[in-house]
Amino acid sequence: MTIARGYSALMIALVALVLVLMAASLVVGPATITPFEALRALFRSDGAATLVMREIRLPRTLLAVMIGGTLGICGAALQSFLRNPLADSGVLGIGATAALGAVVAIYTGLAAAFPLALPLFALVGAILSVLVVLALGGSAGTTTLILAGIAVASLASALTSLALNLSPSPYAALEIVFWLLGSLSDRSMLHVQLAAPFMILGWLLIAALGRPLDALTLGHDTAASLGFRMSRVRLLLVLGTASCVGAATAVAGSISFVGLVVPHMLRPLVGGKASRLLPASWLGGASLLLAADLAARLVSPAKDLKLGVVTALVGAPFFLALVLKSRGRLT
Amino acid sequence: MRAVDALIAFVLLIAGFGNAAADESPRRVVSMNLCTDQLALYLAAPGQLVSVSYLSHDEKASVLAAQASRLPVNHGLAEEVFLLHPDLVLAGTFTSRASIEMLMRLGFRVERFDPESSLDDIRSNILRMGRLLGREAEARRMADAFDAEISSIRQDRGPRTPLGAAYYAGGLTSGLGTLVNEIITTAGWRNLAAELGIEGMGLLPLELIVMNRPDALIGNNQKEEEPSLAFQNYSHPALIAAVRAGTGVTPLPERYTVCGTPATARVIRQLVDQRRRLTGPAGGKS
Amino acid sequence: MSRLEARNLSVSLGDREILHQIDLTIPPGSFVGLIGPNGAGKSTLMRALAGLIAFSGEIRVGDRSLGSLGGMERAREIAYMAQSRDIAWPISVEDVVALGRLPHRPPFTGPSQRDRDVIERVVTELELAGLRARRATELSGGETARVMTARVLAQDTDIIIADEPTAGLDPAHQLNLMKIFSGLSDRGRTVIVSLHELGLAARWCRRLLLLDQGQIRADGAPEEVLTAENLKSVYHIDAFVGRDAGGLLLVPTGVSR
Repeated sequence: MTIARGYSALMIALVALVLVLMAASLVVGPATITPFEALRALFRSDGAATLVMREIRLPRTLLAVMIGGTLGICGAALQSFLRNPLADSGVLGIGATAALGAVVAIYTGLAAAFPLALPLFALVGAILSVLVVLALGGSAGTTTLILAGIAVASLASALTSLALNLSPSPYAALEIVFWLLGSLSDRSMLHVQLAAPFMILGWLLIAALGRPLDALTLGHDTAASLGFRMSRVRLLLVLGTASCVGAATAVAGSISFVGLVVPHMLRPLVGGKASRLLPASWLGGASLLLAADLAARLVSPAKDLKLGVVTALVGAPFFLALVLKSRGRLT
Repeated sequence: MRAVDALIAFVLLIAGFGNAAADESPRRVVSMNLCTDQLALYLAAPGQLVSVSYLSHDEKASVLAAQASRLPVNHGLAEEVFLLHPDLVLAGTFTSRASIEMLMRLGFRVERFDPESSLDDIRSNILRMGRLLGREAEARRMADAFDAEISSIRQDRGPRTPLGAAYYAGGLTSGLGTLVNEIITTAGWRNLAAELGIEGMGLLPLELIVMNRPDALIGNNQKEEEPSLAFQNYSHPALIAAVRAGTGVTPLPERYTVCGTPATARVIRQLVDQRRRLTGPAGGKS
Repeated sequence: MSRLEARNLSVSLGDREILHQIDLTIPPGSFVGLIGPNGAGKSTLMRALAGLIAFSGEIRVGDRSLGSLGGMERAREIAYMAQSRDIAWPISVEDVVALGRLPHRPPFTGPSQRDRDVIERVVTELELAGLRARRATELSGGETARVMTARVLAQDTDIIIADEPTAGLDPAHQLNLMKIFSGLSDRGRTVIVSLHELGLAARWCRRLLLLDQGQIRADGAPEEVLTAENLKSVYHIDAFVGRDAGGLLLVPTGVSR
């Protein structure tokens, strides 16, 4: 059927896009290496260039894919569960509370002693805000949901800034920007290894929600009547998003708007079906973050332009346009 | 009045002027800035300096913390300084403009010093401080001793000039025109940031450090510092693999580099020793 | 073909008791109209019977208790049509209908041939062939009701519980829907619908349950339930009740105190 074929074509196109952007990401950088030399150094031992490729550019590229994918798939899952197109991990304050958890882990010195403390604290932070959002859940209208998200995000950001200002380290106050806006610069394979298990777990938990989310298109009662236990769906969603968004925030700070923009753009292309939107949004999110990171590196190579600046420049006007478009329908 | 009385009065008057000239040096000096604190502590006569900024009590930031701790502190607030009734206020060009302007409006004499960004600056600031405090002789002695120390360091040259990279937490470096750059080059090293044309304080991309394989990193002492995100880049595997000597980061304590003082020569000597250990008398690497 | 039974069924929301110790037995092949004023507890009763909310007492489907059925098992026995016809995303009509097959599909499988056959049959039965590729969010009220009904029919269950399926529809669509439900019960399935339109209930349902303040006031054939007394005490109305070749006629004529 044409619908199925259109979907396959979309997925192939998205995979191709991700691969192309990954290649571009691997050849951009301050070191004067030609693209050919760069890709060759990735696979063969070529001295300093290999070190640059394998330890600096590769982790950066992998993290962009993994974090972008995380934000995309979580945005799609949250929107489908809440039956609301104005949701994502940033709007709902999940990134902000995860950042708070990460900051507590780092500045108390815990993360230096036990590296796993970092993603775990971020995960706990993320769970707190997901629970708040779900407590309001499907019964709350759009306005209530967004206001709750703003409240949670503001509180978390304020506490994060407070913690950083109170920290005896003189660098802490400057690092507020990293946590609130996010950055992928100077990440290493250690970060990839630390975050990957939590992210993969999160993706798997969310992927299991494909069918219930499809059923939720018709509402919570109908979905329950089709045999899906809403309490179990809620649990998988909480644990899944907290795990992958927590890990993503722990290594790159809080990045907004990817989960908002990507599902919205891809939904018409997957015929509105939630179960198809999940993997498509993963790929779309990965592409968007790769592109944003490339833009940040090309626009301002000498300074570290924070990723969140680029995603906000794209995402915030988009969000505003969405709000204006659905003016009549907001309750 | 008799002529003798007039003559005595005249002599006394001249003597009075002479004394006044001799009494030109300020008697109550307040320093509001870390760098002026240090120089004033070095050069002031006993009892001349009545207050220093709170920063100079901190051992990490100040080379003369012990001496400074005997003096009361101020926090750079105009009202504190006012209550001390100084006849000379020493401040830095980055000290709060509002406080400085208020003090000047209140009629105090305020002298502002630029932070030292070269060895020449150290010399000229020493001499200027000496002039302001009425301690020119001491200042000249100190400046000459400093010059002698520096020239002896400059003559000490090894078989090769190793490549150093100033690299602090957060990826920052000191490039052309900074005191740290001059410290590094005077000690017989090359500074990566300067060779890359970075001016002032800037970001040193990790990739460029890796491609240039410096012999040593020069920066913060992580063990002394509180934990923060900024130090994650010190543990970056690429950085560890790229730096030849594998000696970790050679610490450059900030008390020698934030302000330039005669003690700065001490840290230059430390870098010279480091260089000797690296290049060896036989010209090999350790 | 299963019988649906409730014994001592009570449901509370917070500390308010919505349903008080309801007993009822619905044999297969019934077409039951659940009527009663607003706030009587009709939706609550339907949701309890569909297994969507907590209750005290007993509900049995055939010889098994409702609580003992797993989610998917129950979904293969009982299909529920919610009052709200809100569709969150612009999915195709075909996709909406296909949702009814989810309880029959094992995890990680695509639709089987049987699934496709059932969907095809239902689409034809409800005359949705021309609309299959259309976005379900862009349909008229009547079309949407047909699509929702199609989904329920695709679920292919013995028991169908529909909460106000005729609300807000044109008379022609209302009649079509009642005709479909009636046909289903003729073929042995159990259909329970709640209605506000007493005229429809009187004419099409073979049995009426009159619910008021959480209790069953009357239970039986329409003419037995729709007595002047019941209409006055429960609905506070007077009505003309008559009969023609097609069945019972009921028209409310005035408010009575």
